[in-house]
Amino acid sequence: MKPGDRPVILEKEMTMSNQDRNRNGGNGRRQFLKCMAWAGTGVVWAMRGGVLRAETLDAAAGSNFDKSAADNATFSFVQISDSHIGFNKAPNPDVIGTLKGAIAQINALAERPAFVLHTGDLTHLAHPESFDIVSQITQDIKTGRIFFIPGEHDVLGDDGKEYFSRFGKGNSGNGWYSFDYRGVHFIGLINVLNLKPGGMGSLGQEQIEWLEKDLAGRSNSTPIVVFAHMPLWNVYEPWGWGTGDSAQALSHLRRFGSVTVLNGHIHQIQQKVEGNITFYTARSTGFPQPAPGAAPAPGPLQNVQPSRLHSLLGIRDVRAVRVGGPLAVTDNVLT
Amino acid sequence: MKSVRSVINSRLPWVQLVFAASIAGAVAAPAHDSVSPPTVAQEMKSDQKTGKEIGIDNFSFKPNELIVRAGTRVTWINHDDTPHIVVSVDKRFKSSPALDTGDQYSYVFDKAGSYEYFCSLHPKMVGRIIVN
Repeated sequence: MKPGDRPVILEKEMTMSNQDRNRNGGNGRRQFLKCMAWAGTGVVWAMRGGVLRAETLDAAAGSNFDKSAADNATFSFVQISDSHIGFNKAPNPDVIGTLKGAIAQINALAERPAFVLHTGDLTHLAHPESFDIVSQITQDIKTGRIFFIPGEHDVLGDDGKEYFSRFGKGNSGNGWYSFDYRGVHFIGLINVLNLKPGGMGSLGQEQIEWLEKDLAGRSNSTPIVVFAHMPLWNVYEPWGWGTGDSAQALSHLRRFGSVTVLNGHIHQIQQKVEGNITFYTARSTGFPQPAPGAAPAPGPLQNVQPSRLHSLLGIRDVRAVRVGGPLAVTDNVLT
Repeated sequence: MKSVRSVINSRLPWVQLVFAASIAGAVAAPAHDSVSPPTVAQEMKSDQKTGKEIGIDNFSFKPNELIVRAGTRVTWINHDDTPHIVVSVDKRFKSSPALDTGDQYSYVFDKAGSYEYFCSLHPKMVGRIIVN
């Protein structure tokens, strides 16, 4: 959270009258919340009406919540990323153990998440037995459903044949998809196929056109969550941390009042705000990587004290309070 | 990108030097045996036998430009703690499998030409092999 950040509240679409709409210039209130969470303790910093205050996750669910809405409009979901099952070196020889630890942490959350998003690099080498392990372990998550999108490690050597045979059934084109949950539109994009020499992540024209069609006809006040493996903004180009053709995709998203982009790949948290779009990358549950430029290359971080490892891995809990509330993001390190 | 011809031209002075050295060595031969510098033909045979190595370190190919004679076996060795995959840009040689730490991949370059390649997992990693 930086000083001067504008607050954002998801629009009260269900209850706003026509009169309200006209008074506010036809667009309604469309303000954007950037919520910075303090890792490990479940504290949520929320900006409402220009006032910054700290709330526990439970309190955040209760306050400013319009209980007159027909459904319980509050829900939460969890993002995990980069489990890299099959990796067995320093600083973490036991990525299965840390993935199980992350799942235990999800299961211990005060509110059961509606679903879990895994933003890719499920496996390290796309071995069938690694995918088996991911499927088995994630069955223990106490949640409705788990959505996956692949990382470049999941599609190596076979253009994703093994990955898609398990996790890609029924999806469009080369496996991208979208779904709706309680008025929030979720879009899973794939930017790890057909990578070109010297380039970064790539969406491809076919997918960008699919995205445009998928968004067409949706009201600007529909909250959007986009998830993809490689960052959709240039975190650090020398290390390939970005997506070469994301600008065109983002142009289709700019008209929406609240867009949250969730990425993985870089095994650390980075954030950026561009107008109504907030980008977040996530920690890995497997191993940390150096900050941009802080090492010769983006390999597994070395020289990590074993007692410190868990503080560099983590899960992300996201809460959507649809009517008049913020999209709150809490990053938790492994305990 | 340097053309093949300019590469050959830049190496000509070296070739001339080798011949000059071996001639000088032959003319000024002392009574006891001396080891003369290898001729070009001897170098070629040696390359084909032992091959050339490219180390993969810190997400880069070292050397990232390698000049070899036709028939040379080139071997990539991955020293990184993360896998890499060697892929020819124009599919002019067979891609390596995923190379984990310590894994190697070899290919014998029989035909002259310039072979650009990259890592399909980390496409910023690029390299080139020039075959004479």
